[in-house]
Amino acid sequence: MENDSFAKMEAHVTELLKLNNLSRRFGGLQALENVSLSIGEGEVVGLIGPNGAGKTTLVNVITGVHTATGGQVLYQGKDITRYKPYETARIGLARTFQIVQPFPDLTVLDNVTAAAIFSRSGFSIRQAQEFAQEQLEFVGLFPQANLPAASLTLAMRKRLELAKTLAMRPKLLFLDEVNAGLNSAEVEQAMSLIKKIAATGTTIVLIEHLIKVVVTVCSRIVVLHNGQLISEGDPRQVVNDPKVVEAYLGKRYSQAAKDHLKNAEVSLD
Amino acid sequence: MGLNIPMSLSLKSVEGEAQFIFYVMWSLLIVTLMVVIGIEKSKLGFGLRCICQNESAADMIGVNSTLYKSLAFGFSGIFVAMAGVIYAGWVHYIEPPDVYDILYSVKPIVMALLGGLGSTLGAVMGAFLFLGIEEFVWRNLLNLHTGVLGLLIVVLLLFLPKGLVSFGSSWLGKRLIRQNGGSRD
Repeated sequence: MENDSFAKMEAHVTELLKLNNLSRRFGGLQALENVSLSIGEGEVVGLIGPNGAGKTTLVNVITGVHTATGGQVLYQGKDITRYKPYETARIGLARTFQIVQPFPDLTVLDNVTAAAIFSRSGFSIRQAQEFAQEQLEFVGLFPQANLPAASLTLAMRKRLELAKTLAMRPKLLFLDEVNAGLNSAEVEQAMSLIKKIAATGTTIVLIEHLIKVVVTVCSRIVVLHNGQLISEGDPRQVVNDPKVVEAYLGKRYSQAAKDHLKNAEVSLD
Repeated sequence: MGLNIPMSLSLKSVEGEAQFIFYVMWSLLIVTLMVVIGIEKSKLGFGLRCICQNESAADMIGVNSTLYKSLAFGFSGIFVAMAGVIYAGWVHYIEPPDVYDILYSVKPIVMALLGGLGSTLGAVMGAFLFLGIEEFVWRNLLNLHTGVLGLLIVVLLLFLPKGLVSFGSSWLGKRLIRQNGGSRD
Protein backbone atom coordinates (compact mmCIF):
# COMPACT_ATOMS: atom_id res chain seq x y z
CA MET A 1 0.00 0.00 0.00
CA GLU A 2 2.65 2.42 1.09
CA ASN A 3 4.91 1.34 -1.72
CA ASP A 4 2.11 1.89 -4.16
CA SER A 5 1.54 5.53 -3.22
CA PHE A 6 5.26 6.07 -3.27
CA ALA A 7 5.45 4.74 -6.82
CA LYS A 8 2.64 7.08 -7.84
CA MET A 9 4.48 10.03 -6.35
CA GLU A 10 7.60 9.07 -8.25
CA ALA A 11 5.70 9.06 -11.48
CA HIS A 12 4.18 12.41 -10.61
CA VAL A 13 7.50 14.15 -10.11
CA THR A 14 8.37 16.24 -13.14
CA GLU A 15 11.91 16.93 -14.09
CA LEU A 16 13.05 20.46 -13.23
CA LEU A 17 16.71 20.39 -14.10
CA LYS A 18 18.66 18.06 -16.32
CA LEU A 19 22.39 18.08 -16.95
CA ASN A 20 23.66 16.28 -20.03
CA ASN A 21 27.38 15.47 -19.97
CA LEU A 22 28.16 18.87 -18.52
CA SER A 23 31.86 19.73 -18.63
CA ARG A 24 33.97 22.69 -17.69
CA ARG A 25 37.68 23.09 -18.20
CA PHE A 26 39.86 25.81 -16.71
CA GLY A 27 43.01 25.72 -18.82
CA GLY A 28 44.60 22.38 -17.98
CA LEU A 29 42.19 21.59 -15.17
CA GLN A 30 39.09 19.57 -15.92
CA ALA A 31 36.86 20.95 -13.18
CA LEU A 32 33.77 19.11 -14.36
CA GLU A 33 33.75 16.02 -16.54
CA ASN A 34 30.61 14.70 -18.20
CA VAL A 35 28.30 15.33 -15.29
CA SER A 36 24.82 14.03 -16.02
CA LEU A 37 22.15 14.53 -13.45
CA SER A 38 18.42 14.94 -13.20
CA ILE A 39 16.61 16.82 -10.46
CA GLY A 40 12.86 16.51 -10.00
CA GLU A 41 10.50 19.17 -8.76
CA GLY A 42 10.30 19.38 -4.97
CA GLU A 43 13.37 17.25 -4.36
CA VAL A 44 16.00 18.10 -1.76
CA VAL A 45 19.26 16.89 -3.24
CA GLY A 46 22.51 16.88 -1.30
CA LEU A 47 25.63 17.61 -3.31
CA ILE A 48 28.72 16.44 -1.49
CA GLY A 49 32.33 15.77 -2.29
CA PRO A 50 35.82 16.49 -0.98
CA ASN A 51 37.32 19.98 -1.24
CA GLY A 52 38.00 20.92 -4.85
CA ALA A 53 35.63 18.27 -6.21
CA GLY A 54 33.83 20.84 -8.36
CA LYS A 55 30.68 21.38 -6.35
CA THR A 56 30.74 25.16 -6.51
CA THR A 57 31.90 25.06 -10.11
CA LEU A 58 28.87 22.93 -10.94
CA VAL A 59 26.58 25.56 -9.40
CA ASN A 60 28.50 28.32 -11.19
CA VAL A 61 28.10 26.58 -14.54
CA ILE A 62 24.38 25.95 -14.02
CA THR A 63 23.68 29.53 -12.93
CA GLY A 64 25.77 30.98 -15.77
CA VAL A 65 28.67 32.46 -13.82
CA HIS A 66 30.93 30.21 -15.88
CA THR A 67 29.90 28.90 -19.27
CA ALA A 68 30.10 25.18 -19.88
CA THR A 69 32.86 23.99 -22.19
CA GLY A 70 30.74 20.98 -23.06
CA GLY A 71 27.34 19.49 -22.48
CA GLN A 72 23.97 20.95 -21.79
CA VAL A 73 21.86 22.39 -18.98
CA LEU A 74 18.14 21.91 -19.41
CA TYR A 75 15.74 23.72 -17.12
CA GLN A 76 12.07 22.80 -17.47
CA GLY A 77 13.03 21.28 -20.79
CA LYS A 78 14.63 24.48 -22.05
CA ASP A 79 18.30 24.76 -22.94
CA ILE A 80 19.82 27.36 -20.61
CA THR A 81 23.47 26.42 -21.08
CA ARG A 82 24.43 29.83 -22.46
CA TYR A 83 22.31 31.93 -20.10
CA LYS A 84 23.97 34.75 -18.16
CA PRO A 85 23.60 34.90 -14.36
CA TYR A 86 20.91 37.58 -14.43
CA GLU A 87 18.93 35.53 -16.94
CA THR A 88 19.04 32.37 -14.86
CA ALA A 89 18.02 34.48 -11.85
CA ARG A 90 14.94 35.67 -13.72
CA ILE A 91 13.72 32.19 -14.62
CA GLY A 92 13.77 30.95 -11.05
CA LEU A 93 17.27 29.78 -10.19
CA ALA A 94 18.66 31.27 -7.00
CA ARG A 95 21.82 30.57 -5.09
CA THR A 96 23.63 31.55 -1.95
CA PHE A 97 27.36 32.11 -2.01
CA GLN A 98 29.78 30.08 0.01
CA ILE A 99 31.48 33.35 0.91
CA VAL A 100 28.53 35.59 1.71
CA GLN A 101 27.97 38.41 -0.74
CA PRO A 102 25.75 41.10 0.71
CA PHE A 103 25.55 44.69 -0.47
CA PRO A 104 27.46 45.95 2.57
CA ASP A 105 26.29 49.56 2.73
CA LEU A 106 22.64 48.87 1.97
CA THR A 107 20.35 48.07 4.87
CA VAL A 108 19.34 44.46 5.43
CA LEU A 109 15.86 45.30 4.15
CA ASP A 110 17.21 46.95 0.98
CA ASN A 111 19.41 43.91 0.33
CA VAL A 112 16.36 41.68 0.26
CA THR A 113 14.21 44.24 -1.56
CA ALA A 114 16.81 44.37 -4.33
CA ALA A 115 16.56 40.62 -4.72
CA ALA A 116 12.77 40.79 -4.89
CA ILE A 117 12.68 43.61 -7.41
CA PHE A 118 15.32 42.52 -9.90
CA SER A 119 14.66 38.80 -9.99
CA ARG A 120 11.14 39.04 -11.42
CA SER A 121 9.25 41.84 -13.03
CA GLY A 122 5.93 43.01 -11.66
CA PHE A 123 6.88 44.30 -8.23
CA SER A 124 6.76 47.99 -7.44
CA ILE A 125 9.40 49.15 -4.97
CA ARG A 126 6.82 49.25 -2.18
CA GLN A 127 5.45 45.77 -2.92
CA ALA A 128 9.01 44.47 -3.07
CA GLN A 129 9.71 45.99 0.33
CA GLU A 130 6.66 44.34 1.86
CA PHE A 131 7.61 41.01 0.34
CA ALA A 132 11.17 41.47 1.59
CA GLN A 133 9.89 42.11 5.10
CA GLU A 134 8.02 38.80 5.03
CA GLN A 135 11.22 37.00 4.04
CA LEU A 136 13.13 38.71 6.84
CA GLU A 137 10.51 37.59 9.32
CA PHE A 138 10.79 34.06 7.95
CA VAL A 139 14.54 33.85 8.52
CA GLY A 140 14.34 35.81 11.78
CA LEU A 141 16.18 38.93 10.73
CA PHE A 142 13.30 41.36 11.10
CA PRO A 143 14.77 43.19 14.13
CA GLN A 144 17.89 43.96 12.10
CA ALA A 145 16.01 45.18 9.01
CA ASN A 146 17.29 48.74 9.17
CA LEU A 147 20.91 48.02 10.00
CA PRO A 148 23.54 48.07 7.27
CA ALA A 149 24.34 44.53 6.10
CA ALA A 150 28.01 45.02 6.97
CA SER A 151 27.12 45.19 10.66
CA LEU A 152 25.68 41.64 10.80
CA THR A 153 27.40 38.63 12.33
CA LEU A 154 28.37 35.73 10.04
CA ALA A 155 25.37 33.63 11.06
CA MET A 156 23.08 36.57 10.37
CA ARG A 157 24.74 37.22 7.01
CA LYS A 158 24.09 33.62 6.04
CA ARG A 159 20.45 34.09 6.95
CA LEU A 160 20.46 37.31 4.95
CA GLU A 161 21.73 35.33 1.95
CA LEU A 162 18.85 32.92 2.47
CA ALA A 163 16.32 35.75 2.72
CA LYS A 164 17.70 37.25 -0.49
CA THR A 165 17.35 34.01 -2.41
CA LEU A 166 13.85 33.46 -1.02
CA ALA A 167 12.86 36.95 -2.10
CA MET A 168 13.66 35.85 -5.63
CA ARG A 169 10.78 33.36 -5.44
CA PRO A 170 13.02 30.58 -6.72
CA LYS A 171 11.90 27.27 -8.16
CA LEU A 172 15.36 25.83 -7.74
CA LEU A 173 17.54 26.92 -4.86
CA PHE A 174 21.25 26.19 -4.55
CA LEU A 175 22.53 26.48 -0.99
CA ASP A 176 26.31 26.57 -1.07
CA GLU A 177 27.61 25.61 2.37
CA VAL A 178 25.15 27.68 4.35
CA ASN A 179 26.37 25.96 7.50
CA ALA A 180 30.10 26.55 7.03
CA GLY A 181 31.53 28.59 9.86
CA LEU A 182 28.45 28.33 12.06
CA ASN A 183 28.38 26.88 15.56
CA SER A 184 26.16 23.89 16.33
CA ALA A 185 23.24 25.96 17.67
CA GLU A 186 23.35 28.09 14.54
CA VAL A 187 23.51 24.98 12.38
CA GLU A 188 20.35 23.68 14.08
CA GLN A 189 18.59 26.95 13.27
CA ALA A 190 19.77 26.92 9.67
CA MET A 191 18.65 23.30 9.29
CA SER A 192 15.15 23.97 10.51
CA LEU A 193 14.99 26.91 8.10
CA ILE A 194 16.03 24.68 5.21
CA LYS A 195 13.39 22.14 6.20
CA LYS A 196 10.78 24.90 6.29
CA ILE A 197 11.81 26.09 2.83
CA ALA A 198 11.68 22.54 1.49
CA ALA A 199 8.19 22.16 2.94
CA THR A 200 6.98 25.03 0.75
CA GLY A 201 7.76 22.88 -2.29
CA THR A 202 10.94 24.64 -3.39
CA THR A 203 13.46 22.32 -4.99
CA ILE A 204 16.75 22.53 -3.15
CA VAL A 205 20.29 21.51 -3.99
CA LEU A 206 22.27 21.53 -0.79
CA ILE A 207 26.04 21.68 -0.92
CA GLU A 208 27.24 20.62 2.46
CA HIS A 209 30.17 19.21 4.33
CA LEU A 210 28.29 18.20 7.44
CA ILE A 211 27.15 14.67 6.64
CA LYS A 212 24.68 14.72 9.53
CA VAL A 213 22.86 17.64 7.94
CA VAL A 214 22.81 16.03 4.50
CA VAL A 215 21.50 12.73 5.77
CA THR A 216 18.67 14.27 7.77
CA VAL A 217 17.54 16.89 5.27
CA CYS A 218 18.08 15.36 1.83
CA SER A 219 16.02 12.79 -0.01
CA ARG A 220 18.89 11.98 -2.36
CA ILE A 221 22.63 12.51 -2.41
CA VAL A 222 24.96 13.11 -5.32
CA VAL A 223 28.71 12.78 -4.85
CA LEU A 224 31.27 14.64 -6.94
CA HIS A 225 34.94 13.74 -6.96
CA ASN A 226 37.54 15.34 -9.24
CA GLY A 227 34.75 16.78 -11.34
CA GLN A 228 33.02 13.43 -11.88
CA LEU A 229 29.84 12.01 -10.47
CA ILE A 230 30.89 8.93 -8.51
CA SER A 231 27.79 8.02 -6.60
CA GLU A 232 24.13 8.87 -6.38
CA GLY A 233 21.14 7.66 -4.43
CA ASP A 234 19.64 7.25 -0.98
CA PRO A 235 21.63 9.21 1.64
CA ARG A 236 22.47 6.31 3.92
CA GLN A 237 23.51 4.03 1.07
CA VAL A 238 25.68 6.68 -0.55
CA VAL A 239 27.46 7.57 2.65
CA ASN A 240 28.50 3.91 3.00
CA ASP A 241 29.44 3.50 -0.66
CA PRO A 242 33.11 2.36 -0.71
CA LYS A 243 33.81 4.68 -3.64
CA VAL A 244 32.63 7.66 -1.61
CA VAL A 245 34.58 6.65 1.47
CA GLU A 246 37.62 6.21 -0.72
CA ALA A 247 37.19 9.67 -2.24
CA TYR A 248 37.08 11.23 1.20
CA LEU A 249 39.55 9.14 3.15
CA GLY A 250 41.66 7.19 0.67
CA LYS A 251 41.86 3.48 -0.19
CA ARG A 252 43.16 2.16 3.11
CA TYR A 253 40.34 3.63 5.12
CA SER A 254 37.73 2.58 2.61
CA GLN A 255 38.93 -1.04 3.09
CA ALA A 256 38.83 -0.56 6.86
CA ALA A 257 35.33 0.86 6.59
CA LYS A 258 34.22 -2.16 4.54
CA ASP A 259 35.53 -4.53 7.17
CA HIS A 260 33.90 -2.46 9.85
CA LEU A 261 30.56 -2.61 8.03
CA LYS A 262 30.80 -6.36 7.60
CA ASN A 263 31.44 -6.72 11.31
CA ALA A 264 28.53 -4.43 12.05
CA GLU A 265 26.22 -6.54 9.89
CA VAL A 266 27.38 -9.66 11.62
CA SER A 267 26.75 -8.15 15.00
CA LEU A 268 23.30 -7.03 13.88
CA ASP A 269 22.38 -10.55 12.97
CA MET B 1 41.75 75.56 -37.13
CA GLY B 2 38.48 75.55 -35.32
CA LEU B 3 34.82 75.95 -35.93
CA ASN B 4 32.88 79.18 -36.13
CA ILE B 5 29.38 79.15 -34.78
CA PRO B 6 27.03 81.82 -36.10
CA MET B 7 25.48 84.35 -33.75
CA SER B 8 22.08 83.58 -32.37
CA LEU B 9 19.30 84.74 -34.63
CA SER B 10 17.20 87.14 -32.63
CA LEU B 11 19.57 88.24 -29.89
CA LYS B 12 21.36 91.26 -31.21
CA SER B 13 23.05 92.63 -28.11
CA VAL B 14 25.87 90.85 -26.30
CA GLU B 15 24.13 91.47 -23.01
CA GLY B 16 20.88 89.90 -24.16
CA GLU B 17 22.77 86.89 -25.39
CA ALA B 18 24.65 86.53 -22.11
CA GLN B 19 21.39 86.60 -20.25
CA PHE B 20 19.87 84.04 -22.58
CA ILE B 21 22.79 81.65 -22.18
CA PHE B 22 22.72 82.22 -18.42
CA TYR B 23 19.12 81.08 -18.17
CA VAL B 24 19.60 78.18 -20.55
CA MET B 25 22.53 76.90 -18.49
CA TRP B 26 20.54 77.16 -15.30
CA SER B 27 17.61 75.32 -16.86
CA LEU B 28 19.98 72.58 -17.95
CA LEU B 29 21.28 72.31 -14.41
CA ILE B 30 17.76 71.97 -13.05
CA VAL B 31 16.72 69.44 -15.70
CA THR B 32 19.87 67.41 -15.02
CA LEU B 33 19.25 67.52 -11.30
CA MET B 34 15.67 66.37 -11.74
CA VAL B 35 16.67 63.50 -14.00
CA VAL B 36 19.42 62.41 -11.61
CA ILE B 37 17.10 62.49 -8.62
CA GLY B 38 14.56 60.56 -10.69
CA ILE B 39 17.15 57.91 -11.54
CA GLU B 40 18.28 57.72 -7.94
CA LYS B 41 14.75 56.83 -6.85
CA SER B 42 14.06 54.48 -9.74
CA LYS B 43 14.82 50.84 -10.26
CA LEU B 44 17.81 51.87 -12.36
CA GLY B 45 19.31 53.83 -9.46
CA PHE B 46 18.70 50.95 -7.07
CA GLY B 47 20.36 48.54 -9.45
CA LEU B 48 23.35 50.82 -9.92
CA ARG B 49 23.82 51.06 -6.18
CA CYS B 50 23.80 47.25 -5.99
CA ILE B 51 26.34 46.98 -8.82
CA CYS B 52 28.52 49.58 -7.13
CA GLN B 53 28.69 47.54 -3.96
CA ASN B 54 28.95 44.02 -5.30
CA GLU B 55 28.64 43.31 -8.97
CA SER B 56 28.60 39.52 -8.85
CA ALA B 57 25.91 39.56 -6.17
CA ALA B 58 23.94 42.01 -8.29
CA ASP B 59 24.21 39.67 -11.30
CA MET B 60 23.00 36.81 -9.17
CA ILE B 61 19.77 38.52 -8.11
CA GLY B 62 18.88 39.38 -11.68
CA VAL B 63 20.41 42.80 -12.34
CA ASN B 64 21.49 43.10 -15.97
CA SER B 65 24.70 44.87 -15.03
CA THR B 66 26.00 45.32 -18.57
CA LEU B 67 22.82 47.14 -19.58
CA TYR B 68 22.72 49.19 -16.39
CA LYS B 69 26.32 50.26 -16.64
CA SER B 70 25.84 51.22 -20.28
CA LEU B 71 22.83 53.32 -19.30
CA ALA B 72 24.82 55.02 -16.54
CA PHE B 73 27.58 55.74 -19.04
CA GLY B 74 25.08 57.13 -21.51
CA PHE B 75 23.37 59.35 -18.97
CA SER B 76 26.69 60.68 -17.76
CA GLY B 77 27.45 61.76 -21.33
CA ILE B 78 24.10 63.24 -22.35
CA PHE B 79 24.10 66.24 -20.04
CA VAL B 80 27.72 67.11 -20.53
CA ALA B 81 27.10 67.02 -24.28
CA MET B 82 24.16 69.39 -23.84
CA ALA B 83 26.28 71.74 -21.77
CA GLY B 84 28.87 71.61 -24.54
CA VAL B 85 26.30 72.65 -27.11
CA ILE B 86 25.27 75.64 -25.02
CA TYR B 87 28.89 76.52 -24.35
CA ALA B 88 29.67 76.47 -28.05
CA GLY B 89 26.73 78.80 -28.65
CA TRP B 90 28.19 81.15 -26.10
CA VAL B 91 31.81 81.32 -27.26
CA HIS B 92 30.93 81.13 -30.99
CA TYR B 93 34.20 79.49 -31.74
CA ILE B 94 35.41 76.09 -30.70
CA GLU B 95 38.79 74.61 -31.18
CA PRO B 96 39.84 71.13 -30.03
CA PRO B 97 42.71 72.13 -27.72
CA ASP B 98 40.41 74.59 -26.05
CA VAL B 99 37.65 72.16 -25.08
CA TYR B 100 39.50 68.86 -24.95
CA ASP B 101 41.61 70.07 -22.06
CA ILE B 102 42.39 67.27 -19.62
CA LEU B 103 41.28 69.55 -16.80
CA TYR B 104 37.72 69.31 -18.06
CA SER B 105 37.84 65.63 -17.19
CA VAL B 106 39.56 66.10 -13.88
CA LYS B 107 37.52 68.97 -12.51
CA PRO B 108 34.14 67.16 -12.38
CA ILE B 109 35.81 64.30 -10.50
CA VAL B 110 37.25 66.73 -7.97
CA MET B 111 33.83 68.34 -7.64
CA ALA B 112 32.25 64.97 -6.89
CA LEU B 113 35.03 64.06 -4.46
CA LEU B 114 34.65 67.37 -2.71
CA GLY B 115 30.91 66.97 -2.27
CA GLY B 116 30.79 63.23 -1.71
CA LEU B 117 30.86 60.29 -4.13
CA GLY B 118 27.55 58.66 -4.80
CA SER B 119 25.50 61.59 -3.61
CA THR B 120 23.51 63.93 -5.84
CA LEU B 121 23.45 66.70 -3.29
CA GLY B 122 27.18 66.24 -2.79
CA ALA B 123 27.89 66.65 -6.50
CA VAL B 124 25.95 69.91 -6.66
CA MET B 125 27.50 71.25 -3.47
CA GLY B 126 30.93 70.17 -4.59
CA ALA B 127 30.55 71.89 -7.95
CA PHE B 128 29.59 75.22 -6.40
CA LEU B 129 32.26 75.04 -3.75
CA PHE B 130 34.89 74.02 -6.25
CA LEU B 131 34.02 76.91 -8.54
CA GLY B 132 34.28 79.26 -5.56
CA ILE B 133 37.68 77.92 -4.62
CA GLU B 134 38.84 77.96 -8.22
CA GLU B 135 37.85 81.57 -8.75
CA PHE B 136 39.60 82.54 -5.56
CA VAL B 137 42.81 80.69 -6.39
CA TRP B 138 42.73 81.85 -9.98
CA ARG B 139 42.48 85.47 -8.92
CA ASN B 140 45.13 85.35 -6.21
CA LEU B 141 47.65 82.69 -7.19
CA LEU B 142 47.49 82.50 -10.96
CA ASN B 143 50.67 80.46 -11.40
CA LEU B 144 49.94 77.99 -8.67
CA HIS B 145 46.40 77.34 -9.86
CA THR B 146 46.86 73.76 -11.10
CA GLY B 147 49.15 72.92 -8.20
CA VAL B 148 46.47 73.93 -5.75
CA LEU B 149 44.02 71.75 -7.64
CA GLY B 150 46.32 68.74 -7.22
CA LEU B 151 46.83 69.50 -3.57
CA LEU B 152 43.09 69.70 -3.08
CA ILE B 153 42.63 66.22 -4.61
CA VAL B 154 45.26 64.71 -2.34
CA VAL B 155 43.89 66.35 0.78
CA LEU B 156 40.36 65.25 -0.08
CA LEU B 157 41.30 61.63 -0.69
CA LEU B 158 43.31 61.48 2.50
CA PHE B 159 41.05 63.24 4.93
CA LEU B 160 37.59 63.36 3.44
CA PRO B 161 37.17 60.32 1.17
CA LYS B 162 33.41 60.54 1.38
CA GLY B 163 33.25 64.28 0.81
CA LEU B 164 31.33 67.03 2.51
CA VAL B 165 28.10 65.05 2.76
CA SER B 166 29.80 62.56 5.08
CA PHE B 167 29.44 65.13 7.86
CA GLY B 168 25.70 65.11 7.37
CA SER B 169 25.29 61.37 6.88
CA SER B 170 27.31 60.30 9.91
CA TRP B 171 25.10 62.52 12.01
CA LEU B 172 21.98 61.06 10.40
CA GLY B 173 23.32 57.51 10.74
CA LYS B 174 23.88 57.86 14.46
CA ARG B 175 20.39 59.25 14.90
CA LEU B 176 18.83 56.35 12.98
CA ILE B 177 20.62 53.73 15.04
CA ARG B 178 19.46 55.49 18.22
CA GLN B 179 15.89 55.46 16.93
CA ASN B 180 16.05 51.73 16.33
CA GLY B 181 16.59 51.17 19.98
CA GLY B 182 20.34 50.83 19.61
CA SER B 183 20.04 47.12 18.95
CA ARG B 184 23.79 46.89 18.52
CA ASP B 185 24.56 47.93 22.10
